[in-house]
Amino acid sequence: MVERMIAGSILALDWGSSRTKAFLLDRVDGNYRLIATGWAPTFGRALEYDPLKGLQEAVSRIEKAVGRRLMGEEGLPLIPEREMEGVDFFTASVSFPSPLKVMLMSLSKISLEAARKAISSYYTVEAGSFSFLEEESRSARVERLLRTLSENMPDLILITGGTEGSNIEPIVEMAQMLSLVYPLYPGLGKPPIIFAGNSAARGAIEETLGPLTQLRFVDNLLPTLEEQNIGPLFKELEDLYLQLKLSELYDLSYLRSTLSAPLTSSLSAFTLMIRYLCSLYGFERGVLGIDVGGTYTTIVGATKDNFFSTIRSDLALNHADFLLYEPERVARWLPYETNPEKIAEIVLEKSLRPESIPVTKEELMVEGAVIREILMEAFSTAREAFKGLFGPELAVDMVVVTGGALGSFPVKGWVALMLLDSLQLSGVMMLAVDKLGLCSALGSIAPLNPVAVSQVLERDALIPLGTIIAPSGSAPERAIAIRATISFDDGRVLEAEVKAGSIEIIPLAPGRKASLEISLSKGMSLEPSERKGQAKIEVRGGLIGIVLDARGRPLPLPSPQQRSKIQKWLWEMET
Amino acid sequence: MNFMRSVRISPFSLIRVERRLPFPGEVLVQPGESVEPSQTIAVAEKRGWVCLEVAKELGVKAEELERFLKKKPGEKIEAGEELASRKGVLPFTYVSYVSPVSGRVAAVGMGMVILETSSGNIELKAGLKGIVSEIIPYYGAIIESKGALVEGVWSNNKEKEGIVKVATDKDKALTPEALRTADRGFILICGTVQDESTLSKAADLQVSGIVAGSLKATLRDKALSMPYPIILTEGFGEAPMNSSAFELFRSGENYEVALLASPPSIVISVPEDLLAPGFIRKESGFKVKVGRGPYKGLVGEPLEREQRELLLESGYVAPAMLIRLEEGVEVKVPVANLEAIES
Repeated sequence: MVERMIAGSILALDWGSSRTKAFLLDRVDGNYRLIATGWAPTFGRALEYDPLKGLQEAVSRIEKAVGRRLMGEEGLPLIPEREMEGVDFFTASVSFPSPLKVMLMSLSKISLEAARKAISSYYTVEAGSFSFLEEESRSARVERLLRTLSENMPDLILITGGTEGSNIEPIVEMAQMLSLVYPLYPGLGKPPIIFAGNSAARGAIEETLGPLTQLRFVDNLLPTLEEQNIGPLFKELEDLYLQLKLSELYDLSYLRSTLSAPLTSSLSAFTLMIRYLCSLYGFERGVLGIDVGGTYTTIVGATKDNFFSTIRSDLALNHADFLLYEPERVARWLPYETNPEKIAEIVLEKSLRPESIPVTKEELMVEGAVIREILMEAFSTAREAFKGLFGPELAVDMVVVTGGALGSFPVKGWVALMLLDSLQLSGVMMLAVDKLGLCSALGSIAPLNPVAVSQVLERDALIPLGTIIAPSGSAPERAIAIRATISFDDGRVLEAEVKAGSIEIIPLAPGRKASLEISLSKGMSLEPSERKGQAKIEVRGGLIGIVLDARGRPLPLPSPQQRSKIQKWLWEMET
Repeated sequence: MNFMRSVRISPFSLIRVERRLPFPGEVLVQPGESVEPSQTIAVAEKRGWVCLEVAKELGVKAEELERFLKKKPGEKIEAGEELASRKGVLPFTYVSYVSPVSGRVAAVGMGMVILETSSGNIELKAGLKGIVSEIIPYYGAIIESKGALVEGVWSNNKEKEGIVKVATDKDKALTPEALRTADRGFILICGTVQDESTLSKAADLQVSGIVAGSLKATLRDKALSMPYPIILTEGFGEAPMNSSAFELFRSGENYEVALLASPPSIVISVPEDLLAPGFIRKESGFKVKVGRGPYKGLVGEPLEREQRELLLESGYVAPAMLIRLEEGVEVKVPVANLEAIES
């Protein structure tokens, strides 16, 4: 059985909200390779919402490309492969259902903020919040609870509060109040309740709320005031998302029966891949995964022991409305003067047709500026959590970008620039792009066939862009901020000097390596590689090469008077 | 071969539309029933809530409250009617609690009484002329209709029906000067709207709706605040309305039309036999319209089925098609920026 599990063709599907992508993997000379890909809009025509059509269309594109029938008469994959028809295994990840609407009930402001942070790591939107230790009369709170339940109709109620060992009385009283109003929920089905508070209160909570609905207990989200435990809640949210939101739309039981591995969310699958990359390369600092998509912006960070994600359904190419009211935020990244009308037009048009591509360089620059601002906005709310994961300098070993906006962006140097500008990462990091958006699909295969995942990930999924060296701190203006002696693996040696405020690219092709001896000017540092302003670094090449970013950190945001500076950075990175 | 999005611009089409209340209510129609656009097909009561600290006011323990209530859960109560009372040892210690509002006792607990009040109904309209094909229990129905259909790309989330009136040519802007008192009740078809005062004057004149090719991007919020529906067929900017949709509206002038918000669609009620005088026939051949870039809103015919890689000024290398635009010009457009017209 095990032998069979690692010896078959695999059809993997990533079912996104705007695009359904299908990938066919099979063995070539004993190793798994990506054979073909196909995609289609998930929802074909505006008045017909049937994601199966997207699946069938995407797979039919593969069928045409490889000249092999993969789907049966009923529109589902033919399993197993027989006489050059069908596939041996079929896996899928999904993100097309709408996010879970979660109502938050917490004891204190601290536990409410912890709950907010926790749900922001999954496909959710907040559908009302209550902090019971805040001043508000009981009757006013009951009325607000009822209004929230009937107007927002949450899919789920999350109760948090009480560190381990604390008094359970206030949280039990909160549950009693919920039990009073809960039967008045106007929907037909009643939202399940997750309790992620003080574990000592579980018995009383079960007694109070258990008879009313499906009650789920997970480990305390905030066991102590210093420690936050998101993992168990993340798993529960995944379970409810796949159960509630997917079944709300379609009965996919017949599809599930054809799957060779459990259905997973695209986020979980992507997170799994980022964590996998961290362990595959034995990274000490960690890996950051970024996806700016049509419907969501996702940032996933993983170290060898921990991970954190933030996902924004209100910030994506479809949802960049905030920039309509602050067009200057887009304008500050453009090397030329433009009017707010033009910016508004491009922002709105992208929201209507996220799959469309810029024709002119001007449009491309505006889209790049929009992506910067979306990333900045998404990262700003999670910056502290990522600092907790990666350290105060936000130093990571590798950044992986995927998804339509960044993955296919044509000027790869600008992709690096967008990440550096918006996230303000520092240190030495490799940069890779998942151009085909294969990561989530590979994550869905991982439980079934990790060998196929590792082989395809390195050979077909990730395209190395190069290595970024970005010291933090600042150097005096016009001073040489970075001096580097670069010894290439072919024996060549190059000396490079980068002035403060500039970026330089040293070409180093994919697969090539180089050793750098770096000397930093006073005021700049390159943790943890550097000792007294000197550092020795081994780097790998990529489509861009080696990026020496001497602009320092924190990077001052450009003002309209500094257009020449933006123009210079864009020129330097146009590769 | 890259996938091309499609858009329905059809002189005759079977249309299925799901109409749904935001929360459960009562469905008022039956399968097979004919409905008119303004007909209410489902209704739900909008509820409000008043929470009263009755035990505290009476001076009794929370767990004893039910003993003192004059009304039980589920019973109705009028404003000013006694909800609870407590007699003391002496007559002057009688404490009465009078309900401040009319409603129904919804729940009692923790020493509180929750009254449910009604704040009117939410009515769900059919939105278009058709037949009820399926009931969604407690929520609404699926309506089937036959007619001409134009799918748009954006709406201001409002719906209404009216009579089609072509107000400008397909590439011309609707101006305040062009609007007349006689436009009241009409759905106006125009190339573009570029002026805030056009939207305001249309509201003053009580037009039933505007269907435009495009809208000036900075007018989006103004459009969202208008009391009448607005649907765009191309999007934001200055693009003209595509000629396939425009010709359909021109031949459907004076017919009834329904504007649906989500997804944005325009349904013209036309006779089933397609022989209505002056109504255009189903178009033959494969037509596409340009969704983005310099030729946005223009309709053309692909000169070859094959898609070839094209290097764009932006740096993208994308599958593209050679298109002959209706104006006779031949251009290469990336497939990602094209939409196939399904007629």
